[in-house]
This record gives sequence, structure tokens and C-alpha cells, in this order.
Amino acid sequence: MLEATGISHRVNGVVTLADTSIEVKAGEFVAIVGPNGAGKTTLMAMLAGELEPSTGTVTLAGKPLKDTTLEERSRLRAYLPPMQTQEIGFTVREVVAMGRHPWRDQDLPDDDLTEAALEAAGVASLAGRKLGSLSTGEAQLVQIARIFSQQAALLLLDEPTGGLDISHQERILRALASRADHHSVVAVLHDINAAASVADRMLIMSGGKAVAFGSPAQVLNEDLLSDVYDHPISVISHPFRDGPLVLVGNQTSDVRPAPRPSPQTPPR
Amino acid sequence: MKGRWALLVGILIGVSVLSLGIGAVSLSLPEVWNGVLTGVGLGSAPETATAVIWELRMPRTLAALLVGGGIAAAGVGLRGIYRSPMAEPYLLGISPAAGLGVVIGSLFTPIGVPPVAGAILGAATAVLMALGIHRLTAAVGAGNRLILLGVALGLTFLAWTVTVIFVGDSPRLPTFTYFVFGSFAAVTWSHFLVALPLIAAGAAIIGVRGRALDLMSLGDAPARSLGVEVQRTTTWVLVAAGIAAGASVALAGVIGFVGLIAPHIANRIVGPRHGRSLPVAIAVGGTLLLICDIASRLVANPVEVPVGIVVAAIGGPALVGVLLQSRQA
Repeated sequence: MLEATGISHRVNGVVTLADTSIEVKAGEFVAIVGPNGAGKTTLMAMLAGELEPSTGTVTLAGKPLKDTTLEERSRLRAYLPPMQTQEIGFTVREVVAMGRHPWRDQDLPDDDLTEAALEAAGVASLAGRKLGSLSTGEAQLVQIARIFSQQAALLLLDEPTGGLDISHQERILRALASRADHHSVVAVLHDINAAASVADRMLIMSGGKAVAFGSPAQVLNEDLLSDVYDHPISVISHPFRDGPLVLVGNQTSDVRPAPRPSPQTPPR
Repeated sequence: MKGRWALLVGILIGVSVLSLGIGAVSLSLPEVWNGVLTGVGLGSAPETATAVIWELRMPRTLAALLVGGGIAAAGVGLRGIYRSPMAEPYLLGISPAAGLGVVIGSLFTPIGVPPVAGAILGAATAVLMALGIHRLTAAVGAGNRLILLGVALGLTFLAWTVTVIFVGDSPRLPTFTYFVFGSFAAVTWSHFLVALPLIAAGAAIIGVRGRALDLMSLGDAPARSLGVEVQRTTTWVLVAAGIAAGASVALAGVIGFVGLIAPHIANRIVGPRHGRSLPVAIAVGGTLLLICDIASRLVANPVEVPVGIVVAAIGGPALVGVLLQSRQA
């Protein structure tokens, strides 16, 4: 579906991405994790075609990305950049219908597909509201619905759950996971456990490089993560299902200071 | 929707009739009607009334509608690409630059560059600056910084315009003073007919790019990922807005605020779709400017106040209103 080989990015002599390769198969959910400044957003922008790699190539559906037109790309992949707050006067339904733009000259049931996308993202009940009147989490679900309505085989999402509460994060991840049955999904996520719960494979990035790429069980290891995040990290087995559970800290680092004794009331 | 259109067009026609009747010589409604008919060989109005209507007030009325519509159309396009309700030709410095172009063109060149050419050259300069700045600051929130820059540049252009007029020491100085503040007093048919195709072309280009502007309200990257040629759309809309605003300035001088208020009102009436709000904004802008022009003839009758002054007197508070409203949203 998507393949990047040896891509790097250099601006004014500063390397923000170095010799990174990734391939995403059809129907696969790939989560990209790593600390801030690891090059995740740069990588996503290159996979989406927003940014031209300094070296290396990106191939989308068997064709070099740089040889495709914006129009062709828009039918093959949907891209959601990191969240931005905007005052948009359009209604939720109008915004989701914008996802149909790449297919406007095809004879497709655009209205039905818009409704289906609203359903799939769980925002059908908000359809008549103005986007500007929604909470951050609701607005992000609407953007997910818009990405769905684009009907592209590959979904690229940069921090789709950034800054959202657990409930909205889970709603977005479940919606993406069920989408990944028929589509390929690549998402930058900060919550490693949430990523491990939905991803088929995880790409761990650090300092502009990919340091591990494989199933959650393969890549989530204590030494690697502690090194990448520069903080002690423990990995235990998940109590409810097969797979790892990542905890911040370890037995030596995570000792809380003893609770201070409550102030004594002076005797009367 | 149909009812609203009927109301809008009704107001536009009513104001136009008023405009034909009001001035140094007042004409009653039957006199206006008779005079209009006489001009096309169907009535029997006295020669002076017919001349006042057809030679003075008709081109003036149509020019006010055209200019109001032109800067409103430019406003619709500019607020689309900059995603800011404050992006309009005056605040972005395009109209003041066009004004400077006209003044320099006609005072400082041996051949006397025609106003339209000077205005569009001036507008093009401002548009190129805006384009450069847009490329440099294509980030979230760039819109507001751009408007601050536009205001700063606009004041500079205006200052240079006035300086050039004084240095030029031309016998036409009084005309130019009116021009700096905007006026329809000297409009003739030939001026109107030069501006008409330019403004129509500018509005048409913005209309064609309407859907692309809708999608760009999601942000440049999301729009691109939906297949919108963001850079091309930006360039075309800037060119179109420059032509429409430039031709408007050549016809009537530097007039602000209509490009801000008309799209805002249109947005309120028909929603944020650019293709739908464009014709409404044009109609609203034309009507508003014509009302201001009528007021400019009446305020200090028989002396005319420059229409730009009337617009600013009303537009200033309106801008405050827009600011307060967008803070609430």
C-alpha cells in the first residue's frame, strides 16, 4: 500500500529525519510513537506528500508519490495533520461532505457516503451543529468522519487523539481500528498503551530515526523505551489480554516520598 | 432564500431610484421614471432632467453598485484564502496601494498612465507583497499578522499618496483629495465601462474558485490532501481580488470597510459557502456603498462629502462590532 525507503529530511543543515524506511500493508494499523521532536510529524508529512524527502522515495499504491497529482493522491490516501483550532462556520455535515471532494465528478451516492462516515465516527447526532460550536473532542471526531468520507484506502493521521480525554481518545481509536479492517491506517500516537491496544505494528522513533518496527510485543521493551524517552520505563504483561503493558517509572525511580504527617492540632 | 433575494434586489432597486432622484437638483419619483424613459426614447421629460439622470446620476449610481460589489467580491476571496473575517482589500493595503499607483501614474509619468493601469499596478505590488508574506508565514494565525502588516503598509501607501499629491502641485489637486477619500462625483460612463469588465472578471474568478475556498477553510494541508491546488487557488484569488479592487479604486478612489462588512452580512444570510455568499455579498456591498453615496450628497448639501468618509464613519463602528462578535464566537 505504502512504502518509504531511506527517506530523510534536512532543513538548513539540520537533519529532522534520517534514513527512515517503513512499509504499510493493506488492512494494517501502524502506530508511530516516540518522544517530541523525534521526527514523527516530518515522517507523516512526507508519507502524505506534504513534504518532499531530501533523499529516498515514497511509493503509494505502487507509484512513486512525487509522480502522482494532488487529485490522484486525494483518492488514494487521506491525511489529517495535527489538530488546529479553527473558527469554521460550516456545519458538521458540510465539513464531512467536503471529504467527498476528490470524487465529485464520479457518479457516487455522496450523501449516503457522508451519512455513513458520520455514523462510523459516531457523530451523526451532531450533523446539524456548526463545527465551531463543538468541544475539541467532538470536533476531532468530526475530522475523523471527514477522513472516513474521503474513502481512501490509506489513512494517515498525525496525533488524532492529541489533547483529548480518555473517552474521546477511545472513541477515535475504536473507530480507526474498525476502519483498519478494510483500510490501512497509520497514526502518530503519544499514549503507548493505547497504541499497543489497536496497532498491528508499531514504529518507534527517536532523534529523527526509526529505532524499532514490529508488533507491540516485539518492540515494547524496557531498555529500548527507557533509552528513547530518557526516563525509566517498565513493561509488564497486560492483565486483561495478551500483550505488553507499559508503565512509567520502575521500582527504584517510582518511589513516592512518604506522606507528610498531618499537622498536629496544638492542645488547648 | 428566494424571499431574501427578492428583498435584497428590492432594496437595491429602491436605493437606485433614490440615487437617481437625489442631488443638487431633486427629482420626484415620476420625474425620475419619466427621465429614465426619455433617455431610451420613450418619455417626454425636460432635457435638463434627462441629462441629469442619464449623464450624471445613472453612471454614478451604477458605479457605486459596481465598486461596492467589486470590493465585496474581493473581500469574499481574501477572507477565504486568509481564513480571517478581517481580510479585505483596504485592510490588506491593496486599495491604498492602488490609490498610490493612480496618483503616481497620472502625476509623475510624461504620458499620464491611465488610472486603471496605475491602480492595477499598485494593487499588484500590494498583492505580490501579500503573496510573499503569505508564503513566509503560512502558519496558523498568520491571518492576523498579515492584517496588521496590511494596515501598516496601507497607512504608508496613503501617506505617500498624499505626499505625492502635494509634491506634484498639480492643478488637479482638489480632484485627488477627493480621490484619496473616495468619491463618485466625477464618474462618467467611460470610466464605468472600463471598470465593469475588470470587476466582473475578478468576481467571476473568485466564484469559480468558491468550492476550493470552502475546502481551504479546513486549513491548507487538509485542503491539499483533498486534492485542492492551494497555491494555485491562492494566486488566482489574489490576482482576481487585485484586479477587482484596483479597478474599483481607479473608478472611485480608496474606499474601505465595504469589503469587510458586505461578506460578513452575506455570511450571516446564506452561510459560509463562498459560491453562495459571493452574489449576496456583491448585492449587499453595492447597496451599502450606494446608500453611503446618497448620504454623502445629503450630509452637507449642496457640498459633497467624499463617500469614503461616510463609509469610514459607518464602517469604523461596524468593524468594532465584527471584532466583538468574533471574540464571542
